[in-house]
Amino acid sequence: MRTYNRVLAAVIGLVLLAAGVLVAIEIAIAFLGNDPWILPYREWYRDARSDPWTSGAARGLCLTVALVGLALVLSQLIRHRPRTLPLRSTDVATYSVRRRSLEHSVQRTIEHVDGIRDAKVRFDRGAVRVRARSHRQHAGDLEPLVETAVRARLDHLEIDPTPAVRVMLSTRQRRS
Amino acid sequence: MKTPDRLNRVVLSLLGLILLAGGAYGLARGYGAFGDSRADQPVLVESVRTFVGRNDTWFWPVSFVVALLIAYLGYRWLRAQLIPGGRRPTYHVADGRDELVIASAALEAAIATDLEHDHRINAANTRLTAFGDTPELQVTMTVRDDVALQELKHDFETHHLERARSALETTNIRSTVSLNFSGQTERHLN
Repeated sequence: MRTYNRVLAAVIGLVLLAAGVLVAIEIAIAFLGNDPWILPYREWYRDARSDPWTSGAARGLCLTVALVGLALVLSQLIRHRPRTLPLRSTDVATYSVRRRSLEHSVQRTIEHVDGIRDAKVRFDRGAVRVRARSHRQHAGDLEPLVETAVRARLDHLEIDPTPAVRVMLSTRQRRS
Repeated sequence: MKTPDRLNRVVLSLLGLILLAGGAYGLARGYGAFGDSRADQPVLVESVRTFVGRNDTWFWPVSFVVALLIAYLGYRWLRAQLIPGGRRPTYHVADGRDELVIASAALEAAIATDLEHDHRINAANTRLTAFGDTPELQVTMTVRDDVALQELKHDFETHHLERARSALETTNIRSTVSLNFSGQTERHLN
């Protein structure tokens, strides 16, 4: 989100810069009584005086403007997962951890639990969602073991606020 | 979310709403939502032309200034994306009658090296900016998975940050620390 917005802001900033300078130059040139330099504003003026709001050109322009606006608004409404998660801070420093790094770290913690083959971890909406696969046929107490390991890891890091932990465990299917 | 990112989000949302409202108004007018007679009017109505014609002594100079203002705002916005993290200050430390000027980059490198001498920290990246008059130290550390975090925080605040404070001769430094886990553990390292 952050990168996307920065690229978008840079592009729009560049467009505003170029458009502002260009319009100012055209006004100065017109003031000196010379012909337009780049912007064909005489044609635009003529069209704007003759074309009604019902014309295809006016409708097309309005539709384009509305769609660009809608795309901008929607892109800002889409909720993205945070890049960092806050840790308990002190009076002198604010601490956080990179979400992706933490997901991988918790994943490694789970994969050290005996009976777990692999795991996927996702931090979202204040919760840690774990999908773990076991090479056992019967889960037994693996699910609470995984949950305990994850909680211990999170407690150690002092993530603030402490996220909920949800574990989904799948076991090896018995061959018939 | 940091301030430039919040600003981006607010400005992009506002810009989107303005474009959406303008475009929707034009479409509604073109499809007769405000009556057929208004839909059949030219886009540039007579009253606007008359207004500009009557006031052209000040209208075009004002438009010229507004265009330059828009260009300047666009430049500032563009610059904020290309040089994130705000102003890079230099620090002036008095030493008797002499004055020592410390560039941010020199201090950043010194703090990063200091941090990397700690065996628990695999890599450190620092950035010193100014938040108003208060220096702000942004640190990114890559640490082992099994690092004792309480201890690391304590050591950072009492040793590393303290040294930065003493170099800048100030007690007032804001500090933000972002952690990355390397995937290594002490057992792997031995």
